[in-house]
Amino acid sequence: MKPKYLYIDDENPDALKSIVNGFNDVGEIEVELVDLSKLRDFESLKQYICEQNPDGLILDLRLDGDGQNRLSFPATTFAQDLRTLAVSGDVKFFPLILCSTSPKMRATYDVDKTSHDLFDYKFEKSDTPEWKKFSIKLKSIANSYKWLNERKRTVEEILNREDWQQFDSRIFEKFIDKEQDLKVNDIAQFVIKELFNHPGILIKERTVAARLGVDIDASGNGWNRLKKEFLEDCMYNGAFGNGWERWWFDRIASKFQSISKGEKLQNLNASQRVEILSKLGFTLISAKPIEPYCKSSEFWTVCEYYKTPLDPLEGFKIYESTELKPWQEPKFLSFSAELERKGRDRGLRPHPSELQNVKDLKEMLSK
Amino acid sequence: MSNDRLIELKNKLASELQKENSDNGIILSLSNEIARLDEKQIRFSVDAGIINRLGKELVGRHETAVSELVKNSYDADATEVRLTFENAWQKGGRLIIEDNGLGMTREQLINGFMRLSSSDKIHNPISPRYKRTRAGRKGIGRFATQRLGQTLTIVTQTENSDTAIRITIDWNTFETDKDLASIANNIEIVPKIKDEGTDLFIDNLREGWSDAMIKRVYRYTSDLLQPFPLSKKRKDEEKSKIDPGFNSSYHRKDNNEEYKIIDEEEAFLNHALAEIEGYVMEDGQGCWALKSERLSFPQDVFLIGKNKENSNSKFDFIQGVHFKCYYFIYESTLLPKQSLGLIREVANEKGGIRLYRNGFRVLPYGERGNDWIGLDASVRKRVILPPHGNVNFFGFVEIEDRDIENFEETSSREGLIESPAFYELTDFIFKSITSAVTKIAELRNKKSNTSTPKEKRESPTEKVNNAINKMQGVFGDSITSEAENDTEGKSEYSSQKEKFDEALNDLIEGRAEEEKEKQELINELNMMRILAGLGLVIGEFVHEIKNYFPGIHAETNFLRNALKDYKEGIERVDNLEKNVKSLTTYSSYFDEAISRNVLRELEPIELRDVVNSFEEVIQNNLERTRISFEKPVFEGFDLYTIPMHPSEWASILFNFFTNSKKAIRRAGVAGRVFIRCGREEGKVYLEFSDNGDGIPKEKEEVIFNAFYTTSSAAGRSASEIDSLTGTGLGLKIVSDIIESYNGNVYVTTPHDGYTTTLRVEVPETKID
Repeated sequence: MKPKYLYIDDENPDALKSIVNGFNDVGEIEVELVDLSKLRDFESLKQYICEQNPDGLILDLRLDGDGQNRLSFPATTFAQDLRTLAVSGDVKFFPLILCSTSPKMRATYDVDKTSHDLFDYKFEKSDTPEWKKFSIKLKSIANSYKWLNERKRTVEEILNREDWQQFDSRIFEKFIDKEQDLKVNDIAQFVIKELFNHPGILIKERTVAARLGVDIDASGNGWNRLKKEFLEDCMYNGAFGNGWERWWFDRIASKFQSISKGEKLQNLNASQRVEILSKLGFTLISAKPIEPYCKSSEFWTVCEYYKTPLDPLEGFKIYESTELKPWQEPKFLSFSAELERKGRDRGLRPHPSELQNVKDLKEMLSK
Repeated sequence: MSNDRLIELKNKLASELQKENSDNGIILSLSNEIARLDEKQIRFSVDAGIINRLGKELVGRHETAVSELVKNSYDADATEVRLTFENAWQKGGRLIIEDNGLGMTREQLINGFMRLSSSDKIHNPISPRYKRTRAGRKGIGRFATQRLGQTLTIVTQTENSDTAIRITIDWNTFETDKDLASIANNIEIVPKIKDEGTDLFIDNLREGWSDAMIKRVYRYTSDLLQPFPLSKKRKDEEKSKIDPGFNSSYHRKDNNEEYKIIDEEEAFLNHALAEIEGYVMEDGQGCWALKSERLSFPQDVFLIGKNKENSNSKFDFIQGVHFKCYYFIYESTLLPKQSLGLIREVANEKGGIRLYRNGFRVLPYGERGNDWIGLDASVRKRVILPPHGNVNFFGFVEIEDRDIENFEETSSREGLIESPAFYELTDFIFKSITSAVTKIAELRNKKSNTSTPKEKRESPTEKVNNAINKMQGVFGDSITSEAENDTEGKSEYSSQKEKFDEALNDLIEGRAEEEKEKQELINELNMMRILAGLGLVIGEFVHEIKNYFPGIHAETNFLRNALKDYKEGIERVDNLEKNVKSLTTYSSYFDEAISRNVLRELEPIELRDVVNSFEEVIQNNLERTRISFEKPVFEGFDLYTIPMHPSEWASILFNFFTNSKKAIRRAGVAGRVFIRCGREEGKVYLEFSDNGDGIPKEKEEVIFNAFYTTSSAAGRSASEIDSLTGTGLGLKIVSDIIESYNGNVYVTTPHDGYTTTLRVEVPETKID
């Protein structure tokens, strides 16, 4: 059965109906718009949601905006209350999804960090929303919540990996600490935000390609074959795994080593890495440094603006709203992107600790 | 027996007919009696009591009775009718109705007025002279007079007769049991009392008349009313076929004291919020004047020029033109309740600005649905907000004889040829009226902000003007005579006077220049205000529009899926998607330029940032116009401007880009634009190049002037955006922005491979 999400938004219902259609046409989840014309106040809306018992809830950020069904409270307030109810055991935990237009998201949500761990996922009502991508994620979140709600799950079950104890012990310490009674939403936060959203023990496709020295866009089908035939068993398939394609880097590294006669990825440049992979019969194009200021092809990460491979030595750590955990790797902005000031309008900028480096580089290049 | 009687009657009739002064009454009654003895045929006869009965049944109320009589005057092509209620507070008074209509001939009187159920109005539903659709109900008039008073005297004369006819009817003689035909009424030939027209004297009024009743009569005739003020009338001209209008006035006369109860002025024009007048002087200088008692604004005259930016620029064709109109805003705070409905009702039908040539109306200008000045169109555009539709005015324009060569009628005689003169005329009126209503809105605002109307304070302008006036009087006669007695004093005096005069002249000159400059600034400011207001509105719209895009995307996705086996369907979806994409790009343009930046503070801006976001936003536009945006070149890092507003750079670049597109289109080349930025001597610069048709050397400086434009002026029919983009304010805005930051913008030597390069320089901010 498809997970059912209720959708609360104060905008014009005609426009919203089409958004609901956008989800329902994909067919992964079922979305139902809540008729706010009869549920004007906090309590009756809350009561309605609890009665409906949905598999998830999508909330527009500015419910108190200027839509035609304007409510008197923002989504964050409402979400906070639902979470409190769930923690006290009055209702079950269900996913809370936030949506908004991007300027509003930036103006209201991004600056208020206290509400960030309320939501499991946020998507932008952009001009062309990626319905399929969002649907898959929302479906995965709802199903994983359901699975986590059934009974207490072990780390092993959550990650679907027996040897998890080989990793940095700090990563899972809150699972080991019996005093911390982890709730379903805490686990969701941990997996999605700490494991998925930052490179670390799990990495995403573009980072995988960077570390393998491959130019994804140029390699096309060759890359797809590699993913399927070589990387398949390195994929993460634990909780929430259906919604996010992530790979265990330790597995990729050791697999590579097994075909490279012991050469480690980090000691090779892109073309050397690709050459080794090509021997397995994959047609791959090696990635090039980002013009005009990057020269190295010892790629390890991606530039957050161009999304292409980058040697971290030729990039600046970017500023992020949450502090990195010791076992998380930073994200980078390439020299080229920073010097041409790309990505500023998306909020990409060097971490304050990098500013002197930026200045030094500019001075060097100006000479 | 009957035979004997018949013979007797015939004899009597014969002898009466023989008499030199035979009595028509006797002849009629004998003939009737003879006819009644007819054995083979019988006839209807009419009892005199029918008049009374019909009067009661056909004319319900006294007010409608009078209004019917006024309508009869209208139907007789009168242009004016005057009603006087003499000692009419109680019954027994007198009502006089005087008009200047066509009057009646003896035949018309006998066959029309005196013949019951006459068919004139049925046969002739249109009046002969002015082709009016007749308003009076058929055959009601005489019963109306009977209903109103006991006796009626009619004095009527036509244009072509030398004398007038007077008949007197005593309605009391129409008693039951008398034969209607037998009642005789006196008719006399009397000297004419006017050129043409009919006067009714209704005596022994059957009821008393209050002012309220009289005003009600006025309102009952509202569909005839045309409250158009005419500055003068001419009798000597050939009679025009075009209806000059119809005015009625109601008076009361109590024991020789006469006063007005109501007329057009009282009912309409006195309630006007303002009177707007305009004229063009002999030298072509246009002026408009505004007067409003309601807003405590004594008449004041303002200059208006042919060119928008110069109020002293002269009109070429329309010297001597004059217009006047009364301005109404239909708000209950501005009009008495009982008048509001009437005025608006009449304005709906007849409001607008009429055109008179040599005192005669030219059609169809000012007719219902004719928007020759463009007022209704302008209201729809909403650039000017105060109400100024045709319905808000009763007014007229006069053009004179000698303008005939400038104003030729079309061959079909349906209006004037739309010559440059005609265009200038409508333009002059349009500008004057819109300036005036804007001024009125300003005055109203001031007033509404304070509970009590403030006493009008002397403005700085007036203060200076008054001071100049006073100074001109300083060396008056008294000093002159004293000084003349003393030769030494005289020379001292004259040198002082010389110096003084010189200084005074400088002052007056400077004053005039200042006035001119001020007016230019006001014009510019007004335009800026309009643009600023629009910006806010657009911001709102963009916000609204953006809510729909995700949904549109969802629905096109659905269609794409549903139509995947239908080739043509998929092509349509592709088209749809492409079009929607353009739409989203433009909305993000507005988003970028306006909504997101509205509240931001000034900050140092790196030129790369503005160029990057500009490039992103115009991507779609570039594809569509096939203009290539060459990779920008930045020389040096940290090209920070002094603190500026991000949206200002959006304006600057979009302005440049818009001009480039036009230049490229004119040149008909494969377009290229190129941006280069760098720093030089404490300033950062941005150079914007294109390969369009270039800017002639002599135009390099004027392009930054306000209202300079290469596009032709937007006509009245242009859309709002057209009329704003064509204003030539684009580069003026750019240069204003840049100059306000102590920067420079100018045309510089084009880069290799380009024809035009504009360069912006602003002070740099050094960032550590």
